[in-house]
Amino acid sequence: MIRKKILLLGDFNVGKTSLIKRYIDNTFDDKYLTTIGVKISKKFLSVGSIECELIIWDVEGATPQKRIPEQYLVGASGAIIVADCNREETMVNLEEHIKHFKAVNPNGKYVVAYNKSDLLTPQQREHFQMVPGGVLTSAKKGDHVNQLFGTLAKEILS
Amino acid sequence: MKNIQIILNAILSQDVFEYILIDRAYRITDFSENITRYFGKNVHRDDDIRDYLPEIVGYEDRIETVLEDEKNRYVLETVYKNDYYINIHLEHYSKDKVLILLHNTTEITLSKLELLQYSNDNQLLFNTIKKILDSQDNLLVVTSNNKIEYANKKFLEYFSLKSLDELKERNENNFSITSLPVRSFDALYEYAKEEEKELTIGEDTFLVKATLLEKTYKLFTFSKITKLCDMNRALEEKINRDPLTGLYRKSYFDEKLAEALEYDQSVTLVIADIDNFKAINDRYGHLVGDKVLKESADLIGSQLRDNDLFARWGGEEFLILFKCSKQEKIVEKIEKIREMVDTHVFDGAGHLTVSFGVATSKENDTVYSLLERADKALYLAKKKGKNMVVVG
Repeated sequence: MIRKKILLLGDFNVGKTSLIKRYIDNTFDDKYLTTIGVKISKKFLSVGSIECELIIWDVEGATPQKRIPEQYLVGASGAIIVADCNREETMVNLEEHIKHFKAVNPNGKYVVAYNKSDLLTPQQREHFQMVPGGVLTSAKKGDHVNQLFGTLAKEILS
Repeated sequence: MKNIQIILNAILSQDVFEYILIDRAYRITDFSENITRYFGKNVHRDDDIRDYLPEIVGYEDRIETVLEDEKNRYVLETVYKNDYYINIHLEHYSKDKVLILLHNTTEITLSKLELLQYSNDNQLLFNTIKKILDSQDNLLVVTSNNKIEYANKKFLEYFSLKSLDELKERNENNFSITSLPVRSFDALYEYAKEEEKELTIGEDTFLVKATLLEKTYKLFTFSKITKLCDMNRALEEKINRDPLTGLYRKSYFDEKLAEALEYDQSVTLVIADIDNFKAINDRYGHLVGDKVLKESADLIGSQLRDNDLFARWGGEEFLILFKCSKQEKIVEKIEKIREMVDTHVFDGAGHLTVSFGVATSKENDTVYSLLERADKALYLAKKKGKNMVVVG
């Protein structure tokens, strides 16, 4: 079976761990608990006739004081770059995270998630400005979470 | 030998290492007894290491390099495994085997996690507070020992600063670059600590309030009130002006005259009265009368300087205040004005004249006493036949 390493990258407190929890366990916890280092989860999925095991790296969030160590990025086939759609600075930093990921994995694929969309009004959601291919997600409500991981898996396996 | 040395050193330093040996095909060939605690299940020889350590997925190229050269080694730090935090070391063991050392760092990582959680919570709080402060219309600045520690977005924008760092870097005593018309923030604090005070910066007016946050930290709030001041000034002008002639009203004139006398300024007061004005109203109507009043005000006003105060007392009477005691010169000027009116042809009313009463201030004069003397002089001018200047 094919095993693919994917990363969740982004600033701290954007909901990377929550997206994984929603995707793997279909659960959500409102309490913010910082991630330190990395935690790996696994998920089997089929894309067409291809069976794949995603090795999902929940990487500790970047802070103004600490960049994500390169050792975590090595060998990744893809990444979900996450921002909090309510925190401007996390969206500004998306470009930096993408650049960092692509520098280590030039052939790596990525998708951008604008998480916590449940906090936006319907009007805000409708007019939300995103990078091409970006997805508004809500780990709390489960909106577009499976689609997010599925899109990346397809990209990687295509 | 080197690897054994690492294990020994770890034991001696009370670090806890477990190990696994794998071959080129990622098959487990050997492992230490307690390794299972990191996986939550029993480990078997010949199993694929990636079933236990999926962290290895993506690291295959690096494992190849470790096999090739004993100098190559990698470490993957702070990996969460089955309630433990571990560092995963990839070490050369032989040309066919890689030694994986799992170093338990749970205790120290949990301490770090506590600090990181605290730091991130504070960072979130700081970001929220910063957003609140940046959303304010007021200019906010926090100082410590007379130097700027924090300034909100509005403050930076107002003084055309790109960032707070720029503000901090520009000048050791960064007060001066803000062009605030005070010596220092400490001086500003003394000025505005009790209540909001007005402060002019360039063409803008601000209300500044200083608050002591802690012993050395001070918060200054600058509320821009330029528009409000302009509106007040416009309103004051409207209140103080006579709508027909555009001249100041008597109440405003009295206020300024009182101020001048209070500060012992020598002034000369002139009362002007249009002769036989009632007849103009009776003969040509009130609309023409109003036009005559306006034209008279314009005519007299055209001969006055900006700092001469010109007002309408009421009816057909005008007041002029000269902040000057050289009576002869003023009389000369008034005489010219009188002559000018005398030769002017008023629209709809033709020829008319004006009488003037002049009085120069003396020591201990009041508004009333000065007005009284000028009024008496005007009375004499009228009595003597009008169209003349009389000094009281």
